[in-house]
Amino acid sequence: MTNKEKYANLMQRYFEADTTPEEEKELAIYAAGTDDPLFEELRGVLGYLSIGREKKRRKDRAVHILSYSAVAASMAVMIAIGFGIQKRDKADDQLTINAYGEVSSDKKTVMADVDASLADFFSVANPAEANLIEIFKR
Amino acid sequence: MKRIVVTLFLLLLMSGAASAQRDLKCHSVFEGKVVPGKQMVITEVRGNSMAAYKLDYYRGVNFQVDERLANQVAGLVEQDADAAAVKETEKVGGRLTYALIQPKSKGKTKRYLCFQARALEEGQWKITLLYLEGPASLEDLRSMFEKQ
Repeated sequence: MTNKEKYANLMQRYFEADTTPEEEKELAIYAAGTDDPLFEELRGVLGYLSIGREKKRRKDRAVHILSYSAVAASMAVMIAIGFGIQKRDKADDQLTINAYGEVSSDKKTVMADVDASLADFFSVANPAEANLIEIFKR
Repeated sequence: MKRIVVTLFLLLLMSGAASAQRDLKCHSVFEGKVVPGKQMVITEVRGNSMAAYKLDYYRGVNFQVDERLANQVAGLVEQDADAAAVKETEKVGGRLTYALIQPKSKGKTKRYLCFQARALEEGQWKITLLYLEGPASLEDLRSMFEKQ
């Protein structure tokens, strides 16, 4: 049996879906290296399949690149929003005092209350003692 | 993909919501759920105005209540104190009158919950509850007001 006959036979089996992956690979190598018109149809089929495979590979790669880019972009946006919120919080001065239902944003009033409350709390050396003093004041 | 973006967004929202004192039992007091808002003085400051105290955020409430409500507020403070690793508390006659609690810090941001209950006339109590956030250490705060 000549080489051509061997591969013609293999091609026949290929079209009958009776070949192993190794045989198909061997056949493809042979078909790619010969100009014999007998294998023209096979070259067409293999060429079509390889183009399809390449297209799928490219598509898959594109989908992966797109997914990673989208995740990276969303994370960047989230981080930017987070920093934006923090920066805005630090930059903006928000002051309010709600005294028995009456709301004011007057900085002087608000900060006087803050200062008095902090001083009242942190200047007490011994809170229990302070409480006793408060009781005995009465 | 969509799921990842939604998850990231939710995480971001959660981190924002977790700011301030929402994780504390005393949150309900600040929100006016224990004592009505109209019976309290509620002060809130965020931003540069607090820089002089080395703080970023201040929220304070003070109000006058009867013994029952005073005990209820003290109970919430005690629960926060139990959950905190660092705390100083004072009791007079078994009643919590002072608490300085350091809830879990948020990175370099320290958090403080300050409680003070002072007995007034006729079974009334003056309660002060403060929530502070910022880089200030306890020593910083104490030294700032010792001079006054």
